[in-house]
Amino acid sequence: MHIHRFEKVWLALALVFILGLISTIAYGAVGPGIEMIDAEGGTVDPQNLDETEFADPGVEQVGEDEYEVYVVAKQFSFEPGTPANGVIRVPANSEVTFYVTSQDVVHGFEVVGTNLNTMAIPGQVSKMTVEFGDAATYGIVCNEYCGAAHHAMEGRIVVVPESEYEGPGATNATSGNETTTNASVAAAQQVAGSATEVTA
Amino acid sequence: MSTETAGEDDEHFDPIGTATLIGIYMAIVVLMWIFTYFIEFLGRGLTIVG
Repeated sequence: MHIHRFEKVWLALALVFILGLISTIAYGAVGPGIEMIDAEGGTVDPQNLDETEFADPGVEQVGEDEYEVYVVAKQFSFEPGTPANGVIRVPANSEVTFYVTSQDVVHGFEVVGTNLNTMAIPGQVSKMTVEFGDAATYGIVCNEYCGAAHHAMEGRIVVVPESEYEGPGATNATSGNETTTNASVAAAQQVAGSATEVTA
Repeated sequence: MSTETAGEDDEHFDPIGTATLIGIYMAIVVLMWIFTYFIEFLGRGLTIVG
């Protein structure tokens, strides 16, 4: 079969391009160590979270610079995360493993502007480990429509300087936005409530 | 016209313009992939490592 030399060049370039795509993914796994969230987190009974490790969600220290954070997503807040429930506080330069689940419907757990993003599924635990660097404040949003106050479902991760970190128990730090957030959630829940009444 | 004759004609047909255009498209796609993966994705701060 006769193949034009331009076509031969094109085929070669296309193959090199495909190899390039595969190589970058391989580099991502080996170099920066990017992992995918899988079924490793296991399952829980969403009706009985009180009998699981999610009974008292929050931050736990498990090593010198290693922490675990158990987060329950529910209509319409993260516990912990949403200021009313206490924001998530971790020290700078730490390795943090998040365990996220939902107690009611499917929610999202997205740390805004980062690659930390998972679904919070009733019965399923999403496990993900990240390395926090310098002190910063990150926003968390629910990115799966979960009900009338979905738009108000948000939270915060506060990465505090190591010298100012008071331990995993100190999650009740509040911020000026708390009132606003609570008010908007309450308003939205009221809307949801009246909508239900109308339907009934 | 037989297939053989068409094959011979092929040798005199060098679509340089088309080849150049495809080459430019290819370069754009490669640059966009590098930008998307290395700058937009890897440059987004927190990344799941475990």
